[in-house]
Amino acid sequence: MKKILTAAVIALIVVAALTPTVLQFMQGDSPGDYMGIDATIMEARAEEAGRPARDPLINTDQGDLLLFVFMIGGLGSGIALGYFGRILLVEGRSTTGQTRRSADGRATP
Amino acid sequence: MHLAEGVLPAGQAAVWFVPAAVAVGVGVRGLRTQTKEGRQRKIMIGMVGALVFAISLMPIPVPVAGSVSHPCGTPLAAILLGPWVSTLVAAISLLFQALFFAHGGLSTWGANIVSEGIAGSFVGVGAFLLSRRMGFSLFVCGFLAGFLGDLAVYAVTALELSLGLFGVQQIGREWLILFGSFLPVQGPIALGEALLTGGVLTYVAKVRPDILIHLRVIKHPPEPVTPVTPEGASA
Repeated sequence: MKKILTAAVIALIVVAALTPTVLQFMQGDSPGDYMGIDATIMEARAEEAGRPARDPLINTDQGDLLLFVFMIGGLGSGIALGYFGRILLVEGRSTTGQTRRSADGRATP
Repeated sequence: MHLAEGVLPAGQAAVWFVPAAVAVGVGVRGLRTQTKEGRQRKIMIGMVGALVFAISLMPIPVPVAGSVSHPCGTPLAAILLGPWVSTLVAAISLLFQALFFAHGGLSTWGANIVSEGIAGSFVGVGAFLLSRRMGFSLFVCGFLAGFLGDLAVYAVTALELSLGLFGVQQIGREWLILFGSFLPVQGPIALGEALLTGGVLTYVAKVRPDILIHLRVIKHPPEPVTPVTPEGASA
């Protein structure tokens, strides 16, 4: 019974998540230019209402500068994720693959 | 989630800084408490910080919708670190994104903290705890948390924008228009975030259940699947 309920909940969420996308596609309203919704929806609506977005304090959105900054950000966060993830998830495991336990049998970090 | 510089009136933008500052302040206290627990907690905080930064900045194209948006990461962070520290982590990520990545603004930093940090974290962890009480598996609980937390972020963003641009009189209609515009792109991304959140929790429960027990995400390690031997098979 629980499995059926779980499957029903997940199916409902999948349908709810994908229905607006499919409807927009069928109506032919998809932008198709792969601009972010930050610009196409939020900033566009703000501009219509007379509040256009201003340039950021440090405007990296110039030429390939933004690409460079994203690359650095991705590299940095990737290195951090890999380094910390290795310490936590790989080195933290015992050699037998079992959870480490203290003398009284409790699982220890 | 990334409201750009200047789209909110100055007064409203300032008001959003009040709940953001309170949440970040509580998050700083929570961080100080958590870092006293030891090296592993500090490493976990660093890892979750990098995860939220990367996930919330990552532009994911939705081919059928022909547009791009971002997941949030704060539902997963809130399950692992608690909603207050997760809000602090989101605030720091949003500051870097506003300063160097032309995503979000400094004047809208408070509003962005409220949407991604507070809404994403509290709705995410709330959905997780409620579904755990209802007896769903860890994956399903993470799935629900990721999905609902992600959508909550954009629901609050739509609220902030509609309130800022059109005032209280038209807030209902404008919110529906904005949130409805987000859904074709954000729906599939919320689904992806749901799979990510459930998948990460399930994976960590499998390889290092002690971490989730220590974080009070689960109470017991997941039961190992015992292979069923056919009748009559010799040992």
